[in-house]
Formats: sequence, C-alpha cells, structure tokens
Amino acid sequence: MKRIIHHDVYIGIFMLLISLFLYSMTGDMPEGSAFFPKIILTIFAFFGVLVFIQGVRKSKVYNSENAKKMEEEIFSFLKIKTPMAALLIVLVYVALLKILGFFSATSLFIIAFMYFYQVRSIKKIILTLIGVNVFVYLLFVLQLNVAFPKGLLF
Amino acid sequence: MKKIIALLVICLFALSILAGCGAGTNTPAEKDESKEAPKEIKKEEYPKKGITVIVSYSAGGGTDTGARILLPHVEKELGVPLTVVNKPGGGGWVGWNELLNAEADGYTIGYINTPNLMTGYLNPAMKRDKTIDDFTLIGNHVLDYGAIAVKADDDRFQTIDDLIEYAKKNEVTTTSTGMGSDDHIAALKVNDSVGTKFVPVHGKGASHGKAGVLGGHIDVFFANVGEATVPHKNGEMRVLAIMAPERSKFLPDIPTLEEKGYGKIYSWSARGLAAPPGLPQDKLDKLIAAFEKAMDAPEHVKKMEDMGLLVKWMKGEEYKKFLKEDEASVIKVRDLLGW
Amino acid sequence: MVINPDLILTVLTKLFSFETLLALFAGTLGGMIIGSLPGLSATMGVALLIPVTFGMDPVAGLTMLSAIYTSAVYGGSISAILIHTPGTPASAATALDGYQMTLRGEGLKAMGITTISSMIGGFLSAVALLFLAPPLSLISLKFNAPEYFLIAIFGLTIIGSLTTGSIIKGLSAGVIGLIVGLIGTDIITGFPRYTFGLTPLESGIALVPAMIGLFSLSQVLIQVEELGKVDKEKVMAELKGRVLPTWKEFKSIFITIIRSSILGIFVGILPGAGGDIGSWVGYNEAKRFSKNPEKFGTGCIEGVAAPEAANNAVTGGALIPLLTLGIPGSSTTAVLLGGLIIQGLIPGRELFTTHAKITYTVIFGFMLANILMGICGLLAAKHIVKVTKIPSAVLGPIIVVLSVVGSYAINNNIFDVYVMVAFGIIGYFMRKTGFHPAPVVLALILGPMAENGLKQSFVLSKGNLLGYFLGRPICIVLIILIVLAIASPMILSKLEQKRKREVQAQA
Repeated sequence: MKRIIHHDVYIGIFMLLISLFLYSMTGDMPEGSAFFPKIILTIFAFFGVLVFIQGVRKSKVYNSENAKKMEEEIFSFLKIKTPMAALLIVLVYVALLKILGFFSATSLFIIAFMYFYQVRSIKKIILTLIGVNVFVYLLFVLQLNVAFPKGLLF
Repeated sequence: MKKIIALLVICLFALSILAGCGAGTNTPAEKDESKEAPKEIKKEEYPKKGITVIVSYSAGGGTDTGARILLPHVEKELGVPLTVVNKPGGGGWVGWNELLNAEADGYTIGYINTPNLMTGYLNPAMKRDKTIDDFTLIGNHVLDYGAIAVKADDDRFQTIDDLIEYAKKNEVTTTSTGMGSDDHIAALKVNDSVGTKFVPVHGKGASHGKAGVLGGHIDVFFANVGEATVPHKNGEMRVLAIMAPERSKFLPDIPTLEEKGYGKIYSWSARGLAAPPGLPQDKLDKLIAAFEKAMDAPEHVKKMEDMGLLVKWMKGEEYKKFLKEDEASVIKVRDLLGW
Repeated sequence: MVINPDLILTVLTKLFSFETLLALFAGTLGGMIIGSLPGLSATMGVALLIPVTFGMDPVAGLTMLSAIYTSAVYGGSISAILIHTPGTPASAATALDGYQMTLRGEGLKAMGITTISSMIGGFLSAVALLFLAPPLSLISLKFNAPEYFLIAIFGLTIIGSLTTGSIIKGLSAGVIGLIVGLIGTDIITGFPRYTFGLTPLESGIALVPAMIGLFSLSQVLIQVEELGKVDKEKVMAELKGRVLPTWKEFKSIFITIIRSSILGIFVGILPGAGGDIGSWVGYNEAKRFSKNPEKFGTGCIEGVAAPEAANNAVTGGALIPLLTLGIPGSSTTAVLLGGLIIQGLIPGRELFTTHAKITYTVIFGFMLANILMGICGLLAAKHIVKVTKIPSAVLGPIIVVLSVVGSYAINNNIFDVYVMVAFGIIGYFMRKTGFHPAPVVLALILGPMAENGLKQSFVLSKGNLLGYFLGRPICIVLIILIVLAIASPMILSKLEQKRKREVQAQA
C-alpha cells in the first residue's frame, strides 16, 4: 500500500518557509517597523511547526489500522479538478478586464462559466448575461458614476 | 429572481427620481446651465468631451469635498462636465501615478496635495522616480496654513510663549497625521528653530489627533487652520498661534509665530490642479483661464470659507515657485526625518 | 437635553414632507440592495451617493445617507446568511451561523431573526443618539492609543473560540490575518512594508476585496465541486418555517439582542472601531454568556441575533461623536462627515443649536429608517430567500461578477480585483484544508489597530510604558477582561474535568 502523507505536513512546511522568507525581509526595515512583523512571524513559524507535527501524527493514523476512524478527508489536487478549472476561467476573466473592457469581458465570462456549468439553454445564458450587464450599468455606471476599465471594446 | 430584479429597478427608479427632483427644486439655475452649456461651444475646439478629474483621496474627504464645490463653476467656464474619480491609496500616489501616466490630451487632470506629494518621493524608502517637476501645473486652489492649538481648559498654556517655554524644558506630545505629514514637519521645524522638544504621535488623519487632544491624551494639536477653526470657535480648543506669514482672516486675533519673534516658521498644506506631462500649451492656457475665473465665483468662495478653507489662486511661475519652496522646505528637514 | 414642543412640530413637518419621505424610502431600499451586494459596503454606499445628495435639501440628503448607512449594514447580512457572501465586513460574523441555518433549510427564519435584531439594534442606537449624545461622546474621548491596543488584543482573544475544529489551525488563520495586516506603509516610520514595489499596496490590503475573496469567491469554488453531483437540490430545496420567530424564540434571544445593542452602541462611539468590530464583539459576548456555547457556529439563532443587533447599533453609536465632536466613530461616518460639510453643516455644538431643526429631523429620520428597514425586510424576506433556489449555474457567475465590480468600485482600481481573486484562492485552499477564513478577516481588522495603538502608547508614555497603562483606569479594566478571556476557558475546562472525575468517582 502506498504511504499516505496528510496535507498538514506540507502546509506546516509551507508556513515555515513563508515565515522565514518574510522574516528575512525585516532586515531592510527600520527598527520601529521591523518589531511587530518579527513577533508575528515567529508566532507563525511556531504554529507552522505545530501543524507539521499534527500532520505527521495524522499521517501515522492514516497508515495504521485505524484509518477508517478518521473523518477528515485528505486534500489532493486530483479531487478538485473542477474547481481549479472554474478558477482558471475566473483568472482569464480578470486578466481580460483591462484588455477588453469591463462589459465585454463580463459577457464572455458569463457565457464561459455557464457553459462550464453545463447550462446549454441559450435563452437562460442570454437572459443572465443581459440581466447582469444592465443591472451593473444602471446601478454603477449611471447611478454611482463608477468608471470601469474600458479596454479595446466596451 | 424576477421579483428581486423588479425590486431593484423600482429602487433605482426612486433614486434617480429623487436625484432629479432634488436638483430641480433647489439649485435649478446651476444644474441647468451646466447641462445646456455644451451646445453653445463650437465642436472643433477643446474641450469637446467631459474631463476626468482624479482626486487621490476618498469621496467625502477634504480634497474631494473642495473639488466638488469648485468643479461646477469650472464646468460653466469650459462648457463640458468635469467628473471626479476618486483613486485613493499609497498616500495619494496611486492617483498621482495614474495622472502622470494618463494621456496628455487635456481630458484627464487631477488634484495634487502638497507637501504630501513631495514626502512621497523624498522618502528614499518609497523608491519613486517621479517628482513635482513631472506634472504640468495648472494652478493652486486651497492654501491651508498650520495652526497650533491646545485643549480649551489646559491651564498650563495661556499663550504660545507659555507653550514654547515649557516645551524647551519638557517633552510635549503633538498630533501628526503620519510620518512626513505637514503637521509632523511643522513640529520638527519649530523644534529645529526654537529648540523645543515636541514629540509627534503619528496617527491616521486629523480627527484621530483631535480626539487625542480633546481627551487630554496628547498635549498639543498641530494641524491646519481649516481643522482648528471650528473647535476653537466651539470653545473646545484654543488656537495659540498660526504658522503663516500673516494672520488668518478666520482667526484674526491669533498671532503668527513670526510676529511673536520665533522666526519665519511657516507650515501649510496646499492643493492645486495639475495635468499629465506634455500637455499642449493652448489646452493648458484654456484650463488655466477656466479655473482662474471659477475661483472667483462668490458661491465657491463662500462655501470654502464656511469650511474654514482659504482659496488662494496661484498660476504659472508663481505656483511653480511656491511648489519648489514647498519641496525645499521638506528637503531642509530631511535629516530630522531620518531620510 | 431639552426638546421643546415647537421644535418637535417643526421636525415632524420637515420629516413628513414628500421629499424627505421619498429620500428615506429610497435610502432604506437602496441601502439594503447596496449592502446585500458583495463588496458594496455601507462606507462605499455612502461615499458613492454623497455626490447624489449635493443638489438635495440638507434634511432629505442627510436622511437618505443615514438610512443608507443603517440599512446597508442590515442588507449585508442577507447575502451572508443566504449565500455565504457577507455584503459588508460588518456581516462576516453573521455568516457563521446564518449560513448554517440556510443549509438546514431555515433561511427564512434566519432572515426574520436578522431583521428583528437589526431593527431593534438600530432603533436603540437612534434613541441613544437622540437622548444620550453629549454624555456618550465624552466617554469616547476617554479612549486613546493604549485602550485601542488593549481592545484589539481583547478582540483577538475571540479567535481561539471562533472556529470549530483544530484550535491550532484557527489561531494560525488569525496569524495569517495579522501578517496580511502588516502590508502597507507604517505610519510611524513611513516605511513601506512588504509592498514589493507596488504603489497600491502602500495603503495596505483593502479589507473589502480581501473579505469578498475569502468568503464569496471561495464559496463559488466550493459550490463548483458539487457540479455533476445530483444531491445538490436536497440542500436548497426545502424552505420551511416562517419569517417571524415564535414568542418563545424571541424571548430566548431578547437578552442577547439588548446586550449586543448596548455593546454595539459602545463600540460605535469609539473612534476607530466600526461595525466590523462591533459584530464580532456582539457575537463573542453572546457566546460567552450563552448556556450552550457549543451550539455557536452550527446555526443557532443567538449566533445570528447577536452580531446583527450589534452591527446596526454601531451605526447610531458612530453618529454620536460625529455629530457632537466632528470625530467620526467608524469609517462610514468618516465619509458622512464630508456629506455634512458639503451641506454647510459643520459638526459641533452649532448642530444642536443653530441647526437644531435639521439635526433633529435627521435623527428622527434615522430612527424611522430603522423601523422602515425592519418592515421592508420582513415583507421582502419571503421573496429574497428564494435567491437560494437560483441554481448555482446562474448564481455562481453573478456572484463572481458582483465580487469583481464590488472590489473595483472601492478605489476605482483594478488592483483590488487582483487582490480579491488572490484571497479567493487562499480562502478556498484554507477551507479545503481545515482552516477558517473568519479569523483572517478579524485579525486583518485588529492587527493594525493593535500595532499602531502600541506604538503610539510608547510615545505617549514618554518612556514608562507599564506605568502609563496601569495609570489609566479603563486600561486596567481591559487588562482584567483580557486575562479573564484567556484564562476562563482553561479554568472552566479544569472544573469540568474535575466534576467529571468526581462523577466517575461517585459512580
């Protein structure tokens, strides 16, 4: 059987690395500014160690006979393929905001996201699309004078 | 879902009616003129479309409020709408960077606040390469001199002389709106020239400092005339001196530090208008002319005076010289700031 | 304070004019909508609408702004409860128990509790504003840097009890919030900390985009996981119950509401602490005083009522120092200050003498706004709650778009949208690995408050920090409270163990 490592082990290491990195940056700071970060990062590193230890313990349980008793599900990127895909769509949308302009990027996003959500009814997509754009335009642009990024299109 | 949307539409409708009817019942003349005026302007001339005015602070703040009082009068002169866009952040530099990077076509201008703008690049930790010389200057709007005040029932200090004598021997805490703020620099200037021991307590904004002094936690209110006049008149504080070349018309009884014999110690916070670098001269001239006329609008001057703010129009060389002096005065205290 | 009959008559005529009532209605409804949209906080609602009030009559304009303030705080809870996306930072605490209730199909009941608690909290704060403004404003002046430092520390003690599950992870999440709070220019030294050369970071990570990311975007990603699984309908389908709580339920939360209201008013009058802190304080104290604290976080009505009464009570409280001293009690009232000044109303004594008619009309309007908000809320709840029936395929993209719009509109800066997405990713992974985003938000609010308070205390103490703290009565009280907050769970669990042992021994 493959040895399971609980995700807390990685998170603990990650927390330690982050605190080391941020701590190293306090060197450039004036005394008064460095004081608080140093304390907080030390605490964070300490918690990192605790989480790591917790992870090691949990891993042991998983690998022992008692595995079934554990309620917590082990995190793995394989299980969250769909959310990651959704996240990708969001990232592309945000990147396009400045290039295409707010309203065109938003329209594209809604189509893509709903298609991704397996909505195949064109009527539904179009209605949502129009509804959101009109609402945002009425409330934010007309009423509240928010200047959205304009980009190439609209 | 449908019902929610209907609700939203109703609400928006109500809001727009209200905005419309409010404008209609109270200031019909002003609003109508600004909307009808564009038609009279010849199409080929600048400005052809609305102008964006970047304010580097949040809506409702001092700069924003002042801008919104002035701009309707500029609209009348230029015949196009001027829209305020608030771009707060980075001590004002988010908005100023945006202004510097905007196209120099005359359709984006902005407010510059000094000396905050200078401290933003004179502080080496900020690593900025833009300076006041990069802006195309239009003109100054508000000039608010520094004021020194104490809590009204603070018996230790009846006059500015009492305060300074005491502060020469003892550490006295003062309010400050942050490291390198005009209030901070003012306290350092007094320390430097008179030998006092004022210790600034940096806080966020003037209201923080006001609360500190009224509560008796901080000894002295180092602020601007615009912030000190109202508490002075309400009897909550006593202004002891102002840091200006001459007395303020809002506080005619209060002496200046200079006339009390402490030397030319001036402090101010000023805000004016600027455009991105490389704005063509003809457009600049047009903007300057429009703002110059708008400054004199009685309604504008009255409203600013109600707020305790001095309208001080400066343009061209005069404004440039003023800003360079401003810069020089920050550079002078550089060592004291530890930069 | 003496209010003569003449004044009351004028006030009532002014209040019940067509324009004022319309303003009141539009403000209440508009505020509810603005508040319920993720990212549009009360502060932004007021800031964005100040220009609209320029041309209006001062009474109508200011009544509208105050109505927006209180109902936006209420509106924020609607989305917090129904779709786990707090509309304003003040309703982050409500999401804890409110969303759990929705998952159980009790969304309607949660809405009713929220509405009633908010209405009572807001109304009581308006009463305090009307009758107790001068004495309460004096209290607010007693607090300064040392007290703020201690209040922040006291607030941070909540974190330990905030999350169910691993305490280490709960506390770690709090520390993450503290680290995020470090970003930005240190006002004491002027040094830009952890800004990596990015100008927008110099003013720190904005709370609203961070919060939207942590709660809303991460929620959308979690919903996506359900994609393709059939049992989704099961959770959302049932909308049982009624809006109004039963008399018994109401009695059980009545004390909580009153306690939270008083706490909220108190937090409100403190400059520098707003609804975001008020709601957490209300939540935590309710939990501390509750007979069954273990139910908090699983969807109990007290856990909804407490933060709700508190955050709306903050609104009236925050207006007290604003109107009497010109010192805003929260970030929203800081913006409101601009709205007052533009109408030619400079805060201070003159507001209650020369401009008494306007001031009292606005205060009465504010009172009325709270009641109107309650009525609108109760009437609309049945319809609003259907939002949970909208399929995720439609709701998901709408939430994402509104999150983007909301983050952008705060500072008109695309950078905040990137911040929102970054925190969305962080929030998602935190939730997947057993961390909770709520402590991050709390610590992000309190961290800078603690740091600045401590550093200012250093200067104020002129070298003798400990003596300075111990010389201030309020500080001593706060120190005792902090010690109790930290020690009491330990003592209680010790006692519990002892009792159990005794029981076992007897058996």
